[in-house]
Amino acid sequence: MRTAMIMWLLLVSLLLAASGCARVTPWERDLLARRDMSWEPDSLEAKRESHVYFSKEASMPGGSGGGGGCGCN
Amino acid sequence: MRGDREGEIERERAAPAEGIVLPSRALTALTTSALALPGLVTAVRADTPIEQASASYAFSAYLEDDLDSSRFSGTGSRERYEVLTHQLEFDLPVSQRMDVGVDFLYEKMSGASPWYVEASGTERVQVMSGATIDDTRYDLSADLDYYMEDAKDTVSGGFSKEQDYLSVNGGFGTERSFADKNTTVSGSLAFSYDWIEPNNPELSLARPRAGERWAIDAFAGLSQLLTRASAIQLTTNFKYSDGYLSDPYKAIRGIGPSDGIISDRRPDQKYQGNLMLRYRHHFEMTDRISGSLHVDYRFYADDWAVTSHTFELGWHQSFGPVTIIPGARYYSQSKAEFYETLLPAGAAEADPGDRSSDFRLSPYGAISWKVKAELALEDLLDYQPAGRLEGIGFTGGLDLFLGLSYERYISDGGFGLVSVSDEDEAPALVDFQIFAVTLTGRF
Amino acid sequence: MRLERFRFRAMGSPCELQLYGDSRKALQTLAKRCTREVARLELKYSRYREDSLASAINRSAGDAKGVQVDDETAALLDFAETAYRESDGRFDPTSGVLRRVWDFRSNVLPDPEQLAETRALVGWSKLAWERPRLVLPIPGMQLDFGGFVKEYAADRVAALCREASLAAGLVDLGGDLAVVGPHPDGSPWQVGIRNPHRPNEAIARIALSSGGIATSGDYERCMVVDGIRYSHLLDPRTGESFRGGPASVSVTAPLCLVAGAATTIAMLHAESESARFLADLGLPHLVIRQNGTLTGDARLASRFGREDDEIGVPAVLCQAIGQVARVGHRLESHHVDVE
Repeated sequence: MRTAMIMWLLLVSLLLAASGCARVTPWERDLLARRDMSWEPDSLEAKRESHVYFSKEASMPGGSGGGGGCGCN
Repeated sequence: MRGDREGEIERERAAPAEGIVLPSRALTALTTSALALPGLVTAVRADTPIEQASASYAFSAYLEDDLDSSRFSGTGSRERYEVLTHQLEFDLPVSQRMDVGVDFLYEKMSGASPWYVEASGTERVQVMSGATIDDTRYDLSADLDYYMEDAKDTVSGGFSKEQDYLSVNGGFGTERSFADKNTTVSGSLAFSYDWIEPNNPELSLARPRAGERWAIDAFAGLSQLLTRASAIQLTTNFKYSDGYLSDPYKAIRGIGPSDGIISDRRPDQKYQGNLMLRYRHHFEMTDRISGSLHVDYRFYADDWAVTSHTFELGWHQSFGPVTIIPGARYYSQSKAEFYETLLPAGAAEADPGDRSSDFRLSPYGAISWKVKAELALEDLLDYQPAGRLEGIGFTGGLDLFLGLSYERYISDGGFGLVSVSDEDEAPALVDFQIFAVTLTGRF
Repeated sequence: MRLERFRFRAMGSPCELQLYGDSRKALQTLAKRCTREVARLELKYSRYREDSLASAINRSAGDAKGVQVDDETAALLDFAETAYRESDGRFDPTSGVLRRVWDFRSNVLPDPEQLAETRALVGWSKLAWERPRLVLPIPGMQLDFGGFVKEYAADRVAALCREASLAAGLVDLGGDLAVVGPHPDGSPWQVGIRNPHRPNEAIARIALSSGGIATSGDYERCMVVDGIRYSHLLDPRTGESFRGGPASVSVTAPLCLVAGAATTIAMLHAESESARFLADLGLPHLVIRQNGTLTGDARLASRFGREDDEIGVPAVLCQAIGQVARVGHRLESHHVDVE
């Protein structure tokens, strides 16, 4: 699958880029610590949305570990 | 000492010419013993448990548009699904190292759902379920986080119950941070077991009286801080499901006028995988005004031949206590290999193998946009910290956050990345909107 | 970036946190955590509270079994022991008991007999400290953490802030200061040193971008009996009010705890010896003599100051009286004295 290969290349280049990055020191993380910078700022909304998309689309949600299923009509 | 005049500055003892003074033995001794004090040398932790207990409540209304009359067969109801959802979430710090989260969901579903597809001339039209469905779903889940130096472990579990459906799940996750917490690696393993007992099995011979399936989901993630204001995350899931994976409420018929209607049947195994890339970037504008950009991309593939691409963009614009969050999402999927709107003439009588007319397995694309407003009502009940620590500038009590959001989702065979033939376009492709109100209190 | 100031009272002193951050709420949460930490240490080490660990230790005096202490207390005791040893007995947490006989509000000298009795209770060398067991062998013996726990608390609070990813901030616990990090633009904090003779004026300022600073002075309390001034600084070695020392000592060190111990010890040196002792110790310092003149250390300016600082003489850290008005605009913290 070409797309999968592209993603893995992306992963490798990400790791390479990251290793070359200057480190962000613990006292420079005020911006990164903001709620609007988190991966999922609103957990209720994230759960609701991933459930809706999961029920109406063929794909499974990403970004976190597996959870409950659903009986979707 | 000389009689110094008041105000005179004197250099009592000059530093050596190089300006380097080695610390004395006494200072070394003092400093060494001071540094032995716990907590003076800052230890970098992966994460800390939440500090404030919080409770959130959300109400949302999920409303599907009525089936378009041009795509409706005339059988059943055009009124599609409506779901009213109440969600309750509690997060509680338990100790210095632990917090727990408990989630409860109750929802009420009503409306008709797509059943099978018919031909009307060259058009494909949808037959809807006759009786409107009325069901409720309860979902309870809980997780426990345990924090260590540069690490976090999570155990989680939950169950979901509907009239015709029961699902239980549990999992274990772990997170490890490296390089001063610049890099975080996470992984989890989750297991779920579903038990399905379809309503009205007498409606169709092929509708099973009961079915069960189990699944195992492995997750791995890598997060990396890029700069002071940006971070990236790559995650992947692999899931294997085994058991009854068909939809007992869906059927498929042959294209011929005398062809029969047979039930939906899917393979009883499924391998799914996805890769997701998320990027966050914060932009400072003024003291009070700032914005964060969210970019997400997800690639999905399964062994039923469905692949999909999802792009999501979000912008969190803060004006002091008010945050406005517009967002957009694009989704495109290819069809499952056994998806067909209609079976070839006569195929229904000879066992055609796996087959489904479910619009969720059809090729299409979807566009959605969303806007959300958040208002922070902080320090509603001021109090002074206890004891002698009275002071200025401290307030405590209750912080309330109010969120209002609206989302519109439209899907169409023509929105997909690949063009879709008329025979393949599912007439039941869904359009919906979601209204939601969220109220969060932190104590 | 916004600067939030949080003022509160703890350990008998006015305290202030100056913290830089984006969200007022986040800073408030952090400040609350900081005050909780100060309160924790106060509850644990205050000798005025019946239920404190310090009181429990003091109640054990005379008991040969002693008390077993936790790691934090053990580390503080190790520090006190080191300071006692390195100061030839000038730094001595057992000397607090002398305050029972020295009443500086009464303007009466202690009864020589009582003083002699109390002196018998003073002396670190008399106690048995073997981690984790502390034995105060003589009934009536007391341990006073008051001389260094506030400095330790300042360091703890600064460490808490850094742990919470705060980059810029200053912790002031009643004049014991610990820097979280310099101003967001990288410039150091300007600390005003109080004029011992005119307590509402600053006599000098010190630029500080890391570490801590502590000050001791003899001007806070004293009494005059028969024309002789007795300062409230008691010498643990003699049990007497110490005479001939400087008016005030300020020291900067990587930790406020170290700076505090150094000022305490320096105050119990003769005025002419004090600065030399600190120079030998290797810590940047500022000594104010009884006649109001200042003596300092070249490195305080060069290490903590910036090249373009208004300080005229680069080798000197301090501004003399009168000149301070011109630099007052950058004065961020008036250094208040405690002891």
